[in-house]
Amino acid sequence: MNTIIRIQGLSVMTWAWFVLVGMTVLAWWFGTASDSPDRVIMGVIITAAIKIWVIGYQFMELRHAPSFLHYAFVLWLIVISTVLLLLLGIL
Amino acid sequence: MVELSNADSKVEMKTQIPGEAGIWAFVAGDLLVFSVFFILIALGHAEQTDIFEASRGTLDLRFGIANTLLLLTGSLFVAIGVERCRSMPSGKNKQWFFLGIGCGVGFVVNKIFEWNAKIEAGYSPVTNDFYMYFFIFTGIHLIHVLVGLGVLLFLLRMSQRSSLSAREIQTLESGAIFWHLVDLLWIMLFALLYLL
Amino acid sequence: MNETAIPSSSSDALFRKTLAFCGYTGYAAIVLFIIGGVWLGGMLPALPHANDLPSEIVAKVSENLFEIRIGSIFMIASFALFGTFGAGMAMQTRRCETQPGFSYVQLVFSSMGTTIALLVAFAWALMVFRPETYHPSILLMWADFAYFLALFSVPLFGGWCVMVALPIFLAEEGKEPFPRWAAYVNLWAVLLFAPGQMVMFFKDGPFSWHGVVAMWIPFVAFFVWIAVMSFLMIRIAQTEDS
Repeated sequence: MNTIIRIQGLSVMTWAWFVLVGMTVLAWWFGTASDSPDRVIMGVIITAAIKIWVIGYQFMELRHAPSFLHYAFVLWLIVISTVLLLLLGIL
Repeated sequence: MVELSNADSKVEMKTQIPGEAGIWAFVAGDLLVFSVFFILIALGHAEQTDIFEASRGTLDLRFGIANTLLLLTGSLFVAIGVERCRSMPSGKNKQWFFLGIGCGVGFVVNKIFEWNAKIEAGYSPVTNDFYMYFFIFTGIHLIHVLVGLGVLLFLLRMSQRSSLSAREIQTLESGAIFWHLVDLLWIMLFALLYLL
Repeated sequence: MNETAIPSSSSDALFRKTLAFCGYTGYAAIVLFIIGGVWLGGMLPALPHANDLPSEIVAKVSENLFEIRIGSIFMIASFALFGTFGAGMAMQTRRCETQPGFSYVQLVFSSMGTTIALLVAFAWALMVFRPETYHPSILLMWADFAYFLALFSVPLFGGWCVMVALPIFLAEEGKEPFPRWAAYVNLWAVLLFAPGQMVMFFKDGPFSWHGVVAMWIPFVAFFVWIAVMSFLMIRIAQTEDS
């Protein structure tokens, strides 16, 4: 009798948390395991961007928001990630 | 009757702005300002790659990882708390905000230990540009965390009511959005300062 | 569309005109600052830099003496209008109070803020008054003084914004002096003013008084704040008119 959606017994929020923690470990691995600096930068920025999107979409509940708000958020995320990658010498 | 009201709120939620519209003006403003901070770090990294990489190597990644996990977990607790308050308000819901506050306090304590260790090792904001950015941007972020903890305390008090008006739900959502913003900003700061 | 419900007895034509007037003076302050501070006066972007040698400041100032003098006149006109702008916000806040409270506190903050802002223009004008007679380091001090007045005064200007935000947040539903989102804009402005205090610790880079974080962000946020609040005052006056 509630609006909490569950998948495999866990709420979507908890799944989002698992994804975020997984991405954190992945970004850590990118930072230490890869010997190519470019690939490190690429991996770190992109995982950070995806994590930020998950936080916005799930935790900040942009999934329920009018689409313009979600699009504005995604647009900001794409622009800032691109600018950072450009400044860091990738792209 | 209960089923009906929940169905209604589901339909409503599809098109509703989470929280108050105003909190999004605040979020947008803060995102733009932190974008400037991110760009400054990236510029510094591009111009003084050697200094930045050497200084980054002196940071203890464990502090950064621990703080990332604390904020992510705190965000989860607060998000669950808001969901519960919306679907079944009760005095029990405050535990989620209590756990969220615990994570936030853990972040602050961890940060103090980290800074202390750095200062004892002889690093300060005047050491070089990397450490200047490190201390000031994580410091500005720490102010956000402290403000966020105040907000969470306020939410905790509100969350234990057994019935919540639409406006109170909005306030809960707005406060939670600020807490998630703090989390979100840390993700990029962590990536730029600890991982590059 | 009317987000602020005011009892009709307290709403009269003269008040609406006054409120709109105060809003337009906010706009005027922005325009005058753009002419005086940005175009002529060299305040934003900063013509002198915090890490300049005294001799460099003398050179920069002497080259642009006339522009900076005219700019200072525009700037002091701009800053004086913070008074009318602030009074307008306090007037609107006052209408929603049974007993005056936040409106009084706002007036204290706005009059102090106006005074400090006026001193910024004084310091700027004195910097170009007789640069050939002053010792070069005194010019540097006037520039320091101008930016310290403007940027180091975070609790004053930030406090002003908080005193605008609080009565909006604490108001009963439907009785807010300004729409609730404006309260968030005010809090956002406080957050952006805060890095201004770092001018104390840096003479170069983004946190010095010519830098992006300590100077540009607070200055831009301040004028955006004036623009938003002026827009709201004018809109409230107009919606009540119709």
